Amino acid sequence: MSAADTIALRCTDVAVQFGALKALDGVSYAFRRGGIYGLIGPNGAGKTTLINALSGRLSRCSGQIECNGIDITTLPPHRRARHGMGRSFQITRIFPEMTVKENLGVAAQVACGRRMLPWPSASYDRRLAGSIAAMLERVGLTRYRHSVAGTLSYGMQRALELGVTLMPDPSILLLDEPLAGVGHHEMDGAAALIREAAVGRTVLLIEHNMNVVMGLSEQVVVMAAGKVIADGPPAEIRDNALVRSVYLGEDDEPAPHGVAA
Amino acid sequence: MTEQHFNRLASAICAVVVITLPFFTSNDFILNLATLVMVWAIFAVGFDLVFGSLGMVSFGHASFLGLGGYALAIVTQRYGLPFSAGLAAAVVLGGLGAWLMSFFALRMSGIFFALVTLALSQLLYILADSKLRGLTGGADGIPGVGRPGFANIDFFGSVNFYVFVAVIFGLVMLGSALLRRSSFGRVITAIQQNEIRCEQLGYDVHRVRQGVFIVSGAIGGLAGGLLGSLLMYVNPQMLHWTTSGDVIIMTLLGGAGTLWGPVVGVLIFEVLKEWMSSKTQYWYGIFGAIFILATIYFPRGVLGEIQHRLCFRPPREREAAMPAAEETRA
Repeated sequence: MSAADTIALRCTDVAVQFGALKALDGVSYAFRRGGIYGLIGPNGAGKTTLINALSGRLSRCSGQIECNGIDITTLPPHRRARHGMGRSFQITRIFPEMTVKENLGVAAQVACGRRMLPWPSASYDRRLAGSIAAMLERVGLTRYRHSVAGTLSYGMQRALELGVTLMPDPSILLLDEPLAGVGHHEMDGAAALIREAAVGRTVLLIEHNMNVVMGLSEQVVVMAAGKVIADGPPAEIRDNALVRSVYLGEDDEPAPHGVAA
Repeated sequence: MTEQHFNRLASAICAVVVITLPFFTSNDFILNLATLVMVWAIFAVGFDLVFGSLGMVSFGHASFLGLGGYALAIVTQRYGLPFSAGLAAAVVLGGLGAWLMSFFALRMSGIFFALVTLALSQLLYILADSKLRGLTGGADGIPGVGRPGFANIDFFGSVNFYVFVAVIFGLVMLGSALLRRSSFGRVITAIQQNEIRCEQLGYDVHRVRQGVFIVSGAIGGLAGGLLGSLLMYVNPQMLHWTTSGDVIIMTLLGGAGTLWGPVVGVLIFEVLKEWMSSKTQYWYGIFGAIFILATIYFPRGVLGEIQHRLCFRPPREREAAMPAAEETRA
């Protein structure tokens, strides 16, 4: 009982196969509630596939996924979202032709119980306005609220996407390379934004920038060839010889498999 | 000018034209043409919910127009029920048809959605044209479709029927304008712009699409009932795929995804058709050339292009925003 209470997300023997390729080869892992997990591994390790499987983007997926103790294995993405799962994508997914404010508005409506009216309602919009303004402030886009989202700089688009993702207040946050492509000068701000967004949530973060991952995560999960090969606190992972050989690219370490065993 | 201002201006112009037209002319030909434009405009506005707002090319909307027409004809003629019951049946059957079609069609996307809707609507055409001849009158159609009758008003007079259709047209446009600015309308736009983001936010994209498709079908049914009543005749041509093609052309010509674009497209199409078909039987070919030129010079449609020029937020705003962004970072 207490174990189930502290586990936000549990996958049991999750496997995904694309043709002959085993993209996920039996992943079993329990993500503790409120933990910040950095997911690392070489290209093709199955990190994004794991996030896709968790958020429901893959229909052909074996094994079991539990969210807050509820079996969500067969649920479509929108139902999983209603169980408190929010995610961002490698490719920014916002509404490019809407203004920043309208983008957050669509997301805010979800928090309003997804109640949709087929006619305009000022009182409905007033209820949204407060949370939109707060989120604009939070992701630092207040002065760009009337700009069309597609015209923003890449870093600002990423910030907007994070705002859209956070709007329904998800308890589980899956972030797929939120900092990829973010300019050097925007990096610190973006990392701070993620750190702030992580408060009070269970976070899975895929990120290639090692400094950021090691700095943000409480726990680092290393994947290779569709499997979880190691996990532990950042400092431990940094020193793990197996991890260094498969990922950090220090091939001079002798016999990695022997060390792991 | 914002899009909202533009829509208000266009609505005002349209309202003035529609209201004053009967005072300027009692010419039956012009009034009937204007009524025909409004009926087709209702159809096109309903079609554009799927085409422009959801961004899905339906090649089967003739089904809903035809279902509405036949529903009205059969309910009033065969069962002798009043016109209002017939028109209600037209709306319901249009929506019901769309609901049934959505089970097959909405599983598909892109070109496959177009093909499934095309196939199903052709199936309905064949049923009406030959297989259900006993009910539909086959290729001969059903002549003598009635017009509304209440308060002893003679709706067989062009002016009265014009007013009747104008009122319904006004209500449909009002509904469409309200929907666009509603929370539901925002989600429809959002789905077109990023379907996956909407799913990931928790919106049931499939259900929203299905709902919009049904409403679109019901509006098509309404237009079909009115068309049958205007022409006092329904025939399988209403169900033919060329009818679906015409409504796509009209909507594109005027401007898909805008409030008034489909209406303008219908107006241009019908007026050109009346004018050209009296001169040559090859009018459709000439119209095709006009359509090609229009897609080159007005890629957003005639009204869509005007609206874009007047309302587009100029990149000035963006350039002004950029240095400011650098400033905040520094």
